[in-house]
Parts: sequence; structure tokens; C-alpha cells
Amino acid sequence: MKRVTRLLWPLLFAGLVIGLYNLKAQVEDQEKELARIQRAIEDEREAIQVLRAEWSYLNQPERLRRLAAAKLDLQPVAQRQMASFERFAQRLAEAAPVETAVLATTSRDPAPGRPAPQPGFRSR
Amino acid sequence: MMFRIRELCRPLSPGAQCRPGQPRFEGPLGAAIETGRTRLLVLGGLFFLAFALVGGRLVDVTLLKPAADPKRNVAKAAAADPEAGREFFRGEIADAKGELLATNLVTWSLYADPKMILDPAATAARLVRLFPELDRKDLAEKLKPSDKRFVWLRRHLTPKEYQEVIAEGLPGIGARKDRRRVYPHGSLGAHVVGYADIDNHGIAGVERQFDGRLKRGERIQLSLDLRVQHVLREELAAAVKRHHAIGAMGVILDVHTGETKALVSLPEFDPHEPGRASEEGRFNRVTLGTYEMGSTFKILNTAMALDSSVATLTKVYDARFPLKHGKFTINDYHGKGRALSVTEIFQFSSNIGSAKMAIEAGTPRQRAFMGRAGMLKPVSIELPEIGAPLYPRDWKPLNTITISYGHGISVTPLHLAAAVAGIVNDGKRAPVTLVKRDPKEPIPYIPVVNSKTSAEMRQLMRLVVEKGTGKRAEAPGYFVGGKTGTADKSAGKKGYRRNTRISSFVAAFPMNAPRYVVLVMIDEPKASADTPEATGGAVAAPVVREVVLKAAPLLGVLPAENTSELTDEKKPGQKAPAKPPAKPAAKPAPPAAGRLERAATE
Repeated sequence: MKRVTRLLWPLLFAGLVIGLYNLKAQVEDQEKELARIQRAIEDEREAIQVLRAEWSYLNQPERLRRLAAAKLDLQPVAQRQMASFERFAQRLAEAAPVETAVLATTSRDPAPGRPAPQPGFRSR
Repeated sequence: MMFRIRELCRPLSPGAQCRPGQPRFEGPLGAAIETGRTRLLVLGGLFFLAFALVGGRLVDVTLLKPAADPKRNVAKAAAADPEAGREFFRGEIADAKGELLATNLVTWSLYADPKMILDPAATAARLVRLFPELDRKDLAEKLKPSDKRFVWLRRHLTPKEYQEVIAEGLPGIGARKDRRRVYPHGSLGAHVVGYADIDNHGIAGVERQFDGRLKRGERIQLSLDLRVQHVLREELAAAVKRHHAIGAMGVILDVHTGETKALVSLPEFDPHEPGRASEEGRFNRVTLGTYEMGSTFKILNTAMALDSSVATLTKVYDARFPLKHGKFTINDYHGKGRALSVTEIFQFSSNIGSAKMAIEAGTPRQRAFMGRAGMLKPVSIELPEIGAPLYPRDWKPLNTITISYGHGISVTPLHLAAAVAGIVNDGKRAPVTLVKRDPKEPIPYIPVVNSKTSAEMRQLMRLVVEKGTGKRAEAPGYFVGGKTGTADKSAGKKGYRRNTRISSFVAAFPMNAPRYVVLVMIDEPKASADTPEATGGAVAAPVVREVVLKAAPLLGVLPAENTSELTDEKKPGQKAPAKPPAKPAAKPAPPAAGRLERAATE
């Protein structure tokens, strides 16, 4: 009995030591990993920050205007190029009877000497 | 054995080391053993206490309050709040659409530890080779061994510079992570954003106003729209160039919310190098500079007369002869030499008529009105640079006369823009702000005039652009209305300097349901062949026209359509449908088309 306990205690002790050592090593590894990931996150954040600043810098209105003038065949929007949907519906309603009238004239024989009106085209 | 157990300890027996029930040692060594035993007991007790303490703490730390250990919950905390545990960056400043106006970049800054430097002269020489702008003597002085263990050598290196310095491998020279404030849009909006110093303390503008919040990492979103700001700046800069002016100011306000959409003061400065800018460049003319506004003040004067029922639109004042008050004579620029109605007084900007209206209203009423319009207090905008208005402490009849046409009182351009915004916004003035408003928060409007007066003022302002001094501000489809102003610049006590003037135009659009106020002022425009008279109508009104045409689509204001069809197709050359002259500026065209929130821009 005494011998068994004498053998058991050192074994238990050794087991504990090894277990503890492993645990500590694992924790250390994980901590290293954590620090690495946090550093990486911080680096990414800094990179994002740089990109955001650059994006804003590249969006300088003056630069965009210059580029648009050089590369695009665009002009500032004129007032007559803008419309609202309400107005659009209104104009469709206005246009509908005229359209049918135009179609009606084209279906008949054109008057001699006068060119037939172009369908779909409305002079104002 | 030198001792024997004689007896069990008896209670109250002589001898200190005896306990009841324990064997007692006697003899010469017995006492020593008793002492030893007591010592052992005391020691044992101490050890027990110590282990109990350690054990208790162990239970406490591992089982009872594990949350107190910050390391333990890193993952949990990160999941709950990704920003937790981050180092503080100074907060960003963004415009109304989220475009960054001020942000931070991580840079490296070079420092030296003089104690570690072996050869200051040689080190200085090698550093100067990398940074030619550093002074060698100055550098050697800094590097000389001293008690200091830390000296900044150069802040904010570029990545290339950083690489080069590190490659040199100089002992005692190191680089530290640093943060640099950057303004991606440079001088655009610099007067609003302001700037921070090298250690990221706000020095001017919003950077200073919200320094505390920015330092806590808060983000500040302004009401400014960068694209509108750009439009205003470009047009003002073009006007300055065209008229060889010394400066210009401009502001665009949302009349409903009081939000500042653009605020430009020319000349400007680069917020990255404020030290290099001139005093004038850093000076914010819109919020800090006070000026005599001139005729644009007639908007206030007329509104006062109409609102207090002193006058009606059709009331006639005799403006045939110059008005004399003491040794002063008040004259008209565009004199008509006849009696004028209130409408005409405004339309042709008659000083005589305006003065007569003010005299009739009386000084107390004028003063009270100026107070309501906010002319007697600094504007409550979120900037440290705000100018207090200058007005006569003792408001004499002569002051009443001159103030009626905008002289004898100096206010900032922002004052005027805010007051006009209030007058056209159904008489309700929204406090001016630079910070984007929360749409849910109610706006504490200040009443300036009643609804009827507001409607009449809108008609009058529209008339000025249709048929008065401001024709060049007409932007087809946007129903611009406004008032011209041409003020001779004050030369202190010496009176006024002729031909150094500020030409201005304050406008609102669309006049049928005003959304925005635009104020443009050109400082000291010179007359030229194109503009023989550098007046507000000739110099500032065309700028307003351009600004409205370019900024309105960005601000989500759609032009009215029927007028465009008239001008483009049926009646070329004619700008707007004719209106009966007796009833000026009848409400122009469809209000429905004028408002389509942001649909055009987003």
C-alpha cells in the first residue's frame, strides 16, 4: 500500500507538471496568434484609412471636372433636359390624340404635290 | 533522558507555556521545548493564513470574477464592439454626403535619443543628406549629448523617407508611429473645416470648435455639400479674376433648415500649411468679416415697412429730390426723378424712398426689427471665428436713414443671408448651422415677418430679377429672385472711399417656394470695358446665375418646365412669360415641378 502511494505521488506530480506546461505553451501560442491578428487588423485598418483618404482625394470636384472635360463627351445638364415623371405622364396624355391624328392622315392617300407627313414626328 | 513528563498541565498552574490537557515538560530542557513548540505553532498558523489567502484569491480570480481580467475576454469584447480597445484616432470630418474633409493617416516621425548618439556631427551630416531642408548646425545642436532622451527631428515622413532613414541604420535615431491630419480636399472648404496643429490640436474652424469631440474620436458630419461648395468657389474665383477683385465671399443656405450648404471666402489657404498662408487667406470673411451691406439691406427695410403695416406695395413716396438731413444728402444711383411706389423703390433700389419708409416707420420699430432679423447679435454658427455686428449704440434719426439702405451698420455676410432666408421662408428664420441636422429634431424657428409680408417680399425679389437691377441673375426655370447691393467701402473715420466697393447680390430660389438662399459678394471689383459700372447687378448677379444653374441640380431643385419650352422652342429670346405690370410677379408657374427631393442627383 505504502509503495503504491509512494509511486503514485511522483507520477501525479509529473503528470501535473507536463499538463501545466502544455497548457501554458498553448496559451502562449494563442496569445501570439491573437497579437498577430490584432496587428494585422490594425494594419488593414490603416490601409483602409489610406484608401479612404485617397478616394476622397481622387474625388476632388475640380479633378473630376478636369477629367470629365478631357475624357468624356458630356456637358452640364441643361434645364430643358430635366423632367419629372408627373410632367411626363401629362405630356403623354397631351400627345396621344395628336399621335392618332397623324396616323389617320398617313393612312389616307397623300394630297398631290405634298409629301406625306412622317409618322411619329410632330412639328410644333 | 534529561526530562520526564511529570504531570498533565493543570489549569492556572504557574509557567506561561502550559495549555490545559497537554503534557508539560519539566526540567532544564523542558522550557526550551515548550518555547520551540509555541514557535512552531505560531509559524504554522502564519503559513496556514498565507496559503488560505492565496487559495482564496485563486478561487476569487478563477471562479468568482473572471470578467475582471481584460485578456480573458478579448474575443467576446471584439465581437460585441469591433472598435473597442483601439487606439484613439482624431475624429473625421465629413460633408453632408459623407465625403471626407478631414481624416488621419499613419505616418512615421523621426526622433533622436541624444544619449545614444556616438558622433553628433557625422549623424547630422548623414541626416542632412537625406533631408536637405534640415539645418545641419541646428541638427548637430539637437543631437549633442544632453539630459534629454528624446528629441523630435522631423515629423510625418513619407514612406520612402522612412525606408531611407531606416536603411541608414544610425544609432540613436529612431522612428515612431505618428498620426497626421490630412485634408483630402485641400483648400476647398478650408475656412469651414479649419486646421489642426502638428500634435492634432484644433486651431481653427470646425477643427477647433469641436476639438473635444474630435479628440474623443467622434465623427462630425457637416451640412456642407462639397460639390456645391466647389461650384460656388469656382464661380467666385472666376468673378474675382474677371473683375480684378481682391476677394469674394459666398454662402448658400437651406432656408428650411438653416443648414449651410456652401461657404466660401476668397482668398483661401491650404490647411496643410496654414503658416504659409497670408493673414487675409486665413481670414473667414463670411463669418468673421463685418461689412456695410448697402442696398441688399433694403430687403430688410422693405420687409419691416410692410410687416408693420407702415407701407403697402402700392404706397407712393416722393423720390424726386435728394433727401437732406442736417449736412447729409441722400441720393439715388438709378434716380427716376418721380414719385415711386414701394414696389418701384425696391425694384430700382431707391435710397431716398427707402429712407422715407424708414423715417415713417420710426427708429424703435427699425431697431426692434433688426433685432428680430438677428442683425444685432453674432450669428450662432458652429465656428470659433464669428464676427459681432457693429451698429450705433445711440440710434439717431440719421442712423435710421442710413441703415434703411444698408449703411451705418456692419454685419457679416452670413447675417444677411440668414435674415433673407428667414424672410423668404414664410417669415420663419431657422438658426444657421454648419452641422447636418437630424431630420427628426424640430427646428426652433424665430419669427421675423408674417406670411403675407413674406409672400410680398418674394414677389418683390422676383421682380428685381425680372425687370429691375438684377436681370443678369435670371437662371431660366429656377425663378431666381433677389436684390443687388453696391456699397462703398468704409475707410474708418475718413468716410467712404469712392470706387472701392463691395458689389453683392443676395438671391433666393425658386421664388415660388424658396429652398435656398445664395449670397455673393465681390470685394473691390474694378470697372472694365465689359462692366463700366462694377455694381452688384453687373458683377455679382451673373455669378448668382451661374451658381444657381450649376448648383440647383446638385441640391435637388428641378427647374420648372413650361418656361423652358417657351424659351427654347416657341419664343426664343424671351426669358419668362410676360406678366401684367400692374400686378408684379404673380406667382410664377407650377410649384409641383420645383420640388423633387434629390431625385436629380442621387
